Amino acid sequence: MATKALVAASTKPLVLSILSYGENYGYQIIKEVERLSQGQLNWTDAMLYPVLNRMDKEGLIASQWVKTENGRKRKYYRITDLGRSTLERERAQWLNVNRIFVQLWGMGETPYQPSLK
Amino acid sequence: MPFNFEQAIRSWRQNIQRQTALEPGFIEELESGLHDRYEEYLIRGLTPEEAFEQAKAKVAPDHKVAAKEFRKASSPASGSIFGSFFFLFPSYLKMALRNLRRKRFFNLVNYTCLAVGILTTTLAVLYLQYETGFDTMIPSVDQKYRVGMNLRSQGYSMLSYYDYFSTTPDAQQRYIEGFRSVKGVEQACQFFTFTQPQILRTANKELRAEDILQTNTPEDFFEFFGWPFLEGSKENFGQSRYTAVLTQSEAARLYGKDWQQQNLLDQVFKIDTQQYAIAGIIEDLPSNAHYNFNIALHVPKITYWGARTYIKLADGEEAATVRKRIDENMVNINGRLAEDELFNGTIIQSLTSIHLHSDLLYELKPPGDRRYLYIIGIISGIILLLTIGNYTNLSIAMNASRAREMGLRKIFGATEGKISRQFMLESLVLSVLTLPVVALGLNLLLPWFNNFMGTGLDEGILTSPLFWSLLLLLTLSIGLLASLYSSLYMAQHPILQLFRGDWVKNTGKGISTRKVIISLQFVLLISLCSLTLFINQQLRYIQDKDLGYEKEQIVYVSLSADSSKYQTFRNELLQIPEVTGVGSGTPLGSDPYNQTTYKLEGTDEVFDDATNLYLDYEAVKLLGIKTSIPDYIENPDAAPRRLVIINETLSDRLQNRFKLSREELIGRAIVQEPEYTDEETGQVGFPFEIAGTFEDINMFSLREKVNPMFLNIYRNPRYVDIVSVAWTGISPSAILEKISATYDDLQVNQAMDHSFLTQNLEELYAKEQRIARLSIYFSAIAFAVAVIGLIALTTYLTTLKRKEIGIRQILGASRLDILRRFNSEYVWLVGISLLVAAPLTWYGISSWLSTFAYRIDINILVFLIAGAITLLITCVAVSLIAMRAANAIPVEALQESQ
Repeated sequence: MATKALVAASTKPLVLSILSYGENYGYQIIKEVERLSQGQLNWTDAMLYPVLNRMDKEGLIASQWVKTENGRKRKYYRITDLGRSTLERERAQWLNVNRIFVQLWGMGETPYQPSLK
Repeated sequence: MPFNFEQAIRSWRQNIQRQTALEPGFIEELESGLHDRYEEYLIRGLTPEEAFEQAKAKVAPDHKVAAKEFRKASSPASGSIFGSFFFLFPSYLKMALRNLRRKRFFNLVNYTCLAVGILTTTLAVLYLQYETGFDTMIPSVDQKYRVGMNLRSQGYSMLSYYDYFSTTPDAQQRYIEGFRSVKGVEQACQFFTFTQPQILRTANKELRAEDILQTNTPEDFFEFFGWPFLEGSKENFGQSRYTAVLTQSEAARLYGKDWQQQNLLDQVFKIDTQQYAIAGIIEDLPSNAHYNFNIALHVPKITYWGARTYIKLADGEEAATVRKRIDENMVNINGRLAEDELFNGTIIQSLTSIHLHSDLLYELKPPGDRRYLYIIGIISGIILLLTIGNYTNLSIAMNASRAREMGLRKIFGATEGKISRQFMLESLVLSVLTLPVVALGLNLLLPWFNNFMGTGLDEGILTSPLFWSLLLLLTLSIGLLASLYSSLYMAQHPILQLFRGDWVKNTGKGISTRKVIISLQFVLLISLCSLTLFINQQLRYIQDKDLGYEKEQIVYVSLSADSSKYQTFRNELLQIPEVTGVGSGTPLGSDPYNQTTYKLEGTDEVFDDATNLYLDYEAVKLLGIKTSIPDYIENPDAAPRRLVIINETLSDRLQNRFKLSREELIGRAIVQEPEYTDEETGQVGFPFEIAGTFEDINMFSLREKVNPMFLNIYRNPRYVDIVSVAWTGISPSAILEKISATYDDLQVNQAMDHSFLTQNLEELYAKEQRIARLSIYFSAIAFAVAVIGLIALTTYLTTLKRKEIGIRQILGASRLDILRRFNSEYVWLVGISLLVAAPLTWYGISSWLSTFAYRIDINILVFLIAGAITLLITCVAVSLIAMRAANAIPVEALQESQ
């Protein structure tokens, strides 16, 4: 299970990343995250929708209600240009952190050597 | 019945809407998610009921969490509590002021209670600060100590000189040098203060002067205590003998308010035949110094049997170690004392501990009493708690009609926090508004309080910005505390309940917070009431107790003259028709003084607890002391020149200890101070024959048990210090005038000092009297505050139950039934409170009473009376309000829509 802080920090980039593959709705986003994290990230709807709402207000994503074939309404989200550029920045930051961990934990090509004191 | 999904989802939606205000779009989106999950779980093979339950749990496990997440995500501000608070502050303030204006009665009640609570707390804090701040103004006070001594089984606040009164100036200097030479002592000084008035003569005036200090360590004295000079200096004072330093008030009294223009440093004055040159003027001593003086004289020799001795320890020295060194060096400091087998070492007291912790003989000022600080603290705490309890109950009452307002605010997204903050702000605004009243109150009360409690709380504090900042902080804290419960209570109700107005259900049967608060108030009231009753009972007991002598219409006059002057004075006084007797000797009604050792001749056991009392035959007669030698008392001319009788306590002790009858005891000899042997004659101690007995008298406070006593009765004294005069028929001031005229004719060259015996006795209990009166005032305030609170609360409850009262009346309930119904709840609460209050008060009052050797028994009836008073006041208040409701026309109440 991811810690509360990690969930809070990763929600926005995760949502942006999923939406960068095409428009999607809340329930499907939660399922995708569950699948990709192999069940490690369990988001509730009550947690995700406010975040989507906030991101919508910030202009990172855009939303629209769509009526489905069985008459039910579903809110679809898509990424905006601002969202894409934000995602690029987020991506660079996360990769950088990832690279550090890979080195530190000896998982990279060049093993980590502590510098001399 | 098959599962109805539509029905289930509708009820789920209603439940969420009922609890919190969420944006419709958000609920719709949650609902869409719920649909998707429900379908997923159906596909997985769950039954519709199970699928719905699981989907519901997954979508929003807790509606409060959902609401919190939603608000967090949609908050316009930074999200911090303070951020949003300041963002909404103007709006909160506007609403607070509007609400304060709208409910004038309730707000006025709250305002008054808060002002009273804040005022009493401030006074109590100032008092406690004053009492605990004694001597803290003295520089490097942590290093400074007073030296006393243990002699026999008593502790003395001073040390004696080698030859007592006859000690030479040089020997007095050697004594203080002895202290200075002890390792670890950095500085030492000595002085003595004389409270007896003296006649002081300036160039053109003759005035009484009191509180004169003598020192022969002048520079060290001022260096040690650091009293600031306005004119002159400690060097001036130390330069030559027979110089004087005056306090500024004394300078103004002696030389007029324009003393600063008179160049007093060139002036001289005379006391008795000695001339003193003024060497400096200092600021008045703060009232919370452990001693006081008006004039300090630099003299070669302190004219007393000992001195107040003070030492300053070097940095890092331990007081206990230095005390040990002083004891070891006592041979060099005072050889006689060191060899005295009754001397049990010195006592070292830090200056800051003297006021509240000293119980030594001959204290410079009446010491404070920690217990009274606790009492003041507790009483003001009770008033504060009552204020807070009242505010809580009142604001719930006052805001009961604001349920819809809160509901609407919640719908528009206000959180519980925001609603509580609104209520808290209202309370804070109200409490800040009390500041002018508190300021005015303090301005008026401080002089009264100082006079009443004998304190010197600085009235200049009212102009200090620091004081006002602290007062503001205190006020805000009280405001916040007062609103804490009510604001949280009111903010937590779900929206639907707010609109239905059924939160009043909380005032039904069972234990509610409201009942707990009221019970707590009852506990406090009963405790305070019984405490006041007990204190007053004990003080009445003290006043009424037969002390074993006449105390009315006896006045003591200081004379300090030889026998011929005394006889002249006595004869003159007896010429005054109203004077019924004139005698001389030890005045009664004083603080305890030194005791003596003794033994019954022919036995070995030495006791050390007897007090000597010296009276002439006339004084014994005018005091009405009952003795076994009435013939001698009636006819002193036929009596021996001197005889000693013992009190019954001593007589009983000796009879029991040595198995003697009273007849056998009379005529036996007692040896006083058997540790001394006259080197020339070989006489052991000071023997005397027991000439008779006298009934026990309480010559000290009733705190002290009657100890063994020797009454030395004499005829024609050679020297008389104090004259006792009994009179009848005229007022104290009239007799004083007549005595004073006779005294002036005597030309004894000193100012007449007097004290009435009743006054002496009253002064012994001055602290108790003050506390008793203060507790009565405070109890009255506490009752007023509590009753106001109860009235307001009952008004609130009655408003809520108007329909109930209406229905009851229609169904035939009489007014009495309704009153009984309203009052019955309080009877129970008072009963329970009595059970809680009684043991607490019992504990407190018995520990206070244990300080008196003669005291009342704790009577359970007092608790019942206190409970009955509380119940009576409560029932009257509740019945008055309930009657108003019962007098209303029932139909009107029923027609009202909620």
